[in-house]
Amino acid sequence: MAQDAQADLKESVLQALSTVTDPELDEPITELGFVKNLSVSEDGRVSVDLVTSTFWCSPNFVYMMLEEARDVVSKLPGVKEMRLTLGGHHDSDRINGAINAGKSFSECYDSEARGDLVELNRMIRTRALRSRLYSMAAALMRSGLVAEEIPELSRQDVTANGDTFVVNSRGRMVPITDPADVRRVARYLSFLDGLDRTTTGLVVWELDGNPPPEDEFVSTLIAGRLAKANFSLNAELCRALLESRLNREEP
Amino acid sequence: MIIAETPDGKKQDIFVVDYHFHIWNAAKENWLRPDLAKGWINCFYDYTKALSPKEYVWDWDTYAYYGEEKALHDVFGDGHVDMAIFEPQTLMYFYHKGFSNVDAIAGYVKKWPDRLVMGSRWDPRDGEAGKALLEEQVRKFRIRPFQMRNTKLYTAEWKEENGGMSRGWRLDSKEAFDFLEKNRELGINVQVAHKGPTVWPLDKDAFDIGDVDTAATSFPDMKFVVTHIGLPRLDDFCWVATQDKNIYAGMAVAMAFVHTRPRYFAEMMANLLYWLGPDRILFSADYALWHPKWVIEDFLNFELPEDLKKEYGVDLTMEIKKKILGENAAKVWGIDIEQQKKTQKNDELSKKLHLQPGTIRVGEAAKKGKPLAR
Repeated sequence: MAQDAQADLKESVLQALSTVTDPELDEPITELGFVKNLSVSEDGRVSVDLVTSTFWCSPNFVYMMLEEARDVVSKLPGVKEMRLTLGGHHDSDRINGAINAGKSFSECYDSEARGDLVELNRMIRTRALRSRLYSMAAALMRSGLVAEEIPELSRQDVTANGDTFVVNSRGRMVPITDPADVRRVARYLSFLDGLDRTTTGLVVWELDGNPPPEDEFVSTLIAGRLAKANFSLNAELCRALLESRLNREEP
Repeated sequence: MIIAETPDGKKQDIFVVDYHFHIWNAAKENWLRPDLAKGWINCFYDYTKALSPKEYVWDWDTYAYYGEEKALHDVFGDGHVDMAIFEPQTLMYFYHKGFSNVDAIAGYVKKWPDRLVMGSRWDPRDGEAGKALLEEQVRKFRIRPFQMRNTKLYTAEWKEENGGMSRGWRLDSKEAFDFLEKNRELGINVQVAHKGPTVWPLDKDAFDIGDVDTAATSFPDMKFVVTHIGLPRLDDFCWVATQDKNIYAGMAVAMAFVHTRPRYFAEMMANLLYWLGPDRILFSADYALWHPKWVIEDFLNFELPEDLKKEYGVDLTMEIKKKILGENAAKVWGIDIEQQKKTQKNDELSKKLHLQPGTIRVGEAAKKGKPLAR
């Protein structure tokens, strides 16, 4: 592989990894500092070293993250082989062996698990959806919409316009221009557009595409805000713990 | 005891009860499975370093084993705490003699039963022997009405079992309910639930508090304190605690955000006050993870930002701080604060540590640069 191609591949691996989120924090593993090392060989063998914020991170959530990383990188064109190495975790050896052999969580843990992570994944994704919904709604309200009109909107009413969004509501066009708010809207929409649903509304509360119960949008927002507060507290704690961890001298 | 002086010149007594305090031994000689034992204490140390003011971070060796005398001096001497409730965490799979067990404080509880409160633990996997031990502990330590009223439930405890290893248990199992019945019979009516990173089976969420919900509904006469307010599941915790009025927010770990992460602390407090109200929030510095001196002083000086007050319609007044710091826990454990104040005045520990009520200036007075400490 030419040097340029090798550098390009490394870039696309990094890009792919940035779509993997820590399920408990709803933030990309690349931004959390979990990707410690990444190398791409001349013949397309990719090796990624990962670290979590503590020695004790739950094996189930760690496995979800690694499985996703494995899957998004393996399917990139030009990747011949993908090797993940999780370091400094209480079950590193077992998890690394299983993940690189392409095993599922229940195959990794055998009788210690009753099944795969479908239910857990559903729970955590629902939480992410609700947290992102709150952030988007708050962004729309900062731009001049009132809470009551948000549930009336359909997905098509929000359109991208360069680096901003425009919302078509109650006969007027409302621009969203603040960069942080644009990011909040984009994060919700990317989640929403990834759902397999038949509904067309903008406001979705369940993974199957259903909206929140009618007439309760304000209390829905408070619940969404709590989900968001939870993610941001966890993420802040994990960042602080990882920083302590990386700066600690081993006894 | 603390005397808090507000900018209007008012002074109030604040009696401090810390519901979650440890004396641990993680020194190398005590490591049974070195990787796990070391991984455990290093993780604690990272928590401490992540959220403490720098001057309160000890060297690693002191942190691993600080001993009983230092603990008493830090908590009661410098730390403003009037009563500390012990919560063991045995971890026999990691440490030869356990990480933090009742033996560490048994003698001290006998000596100062009005200061240190004995709490034990149970694990349904211990069977009848575990129940017999609880009976014995009640007999030995119920030397005040509030002694031996609580047990810590660490559901992520690893244990050797039938030649294999079990990574945890659930509070809604039949075996756990048998233990709760036994606790009820013995008058141990405060269950301090602590979630962890593993549980059996491993595909379930180990931080899920659904089992605490089930137990709290089935044992409405008992009180359930959820340690570190269910983090990383604060939202689930708030939902469950809104339904079950016998569930309490245990602020161990959560309190420590107050110093370096005040905005996050504010979000957390606003949510707890909104969902649970001011009567079910219990203070802890989680010593020796964090030193109660700075935690308490920062908390007394902490004010909720206006935007959160407005959005949630709540406030964190001095009256509410007083509840959180001691009155709420006193109600849960059946401690008569006025009686304790009299008993503690000039008690042996006061003499030994030269304890005096310290005045802390809060609010504007503190901001103007007047000294915080006693």
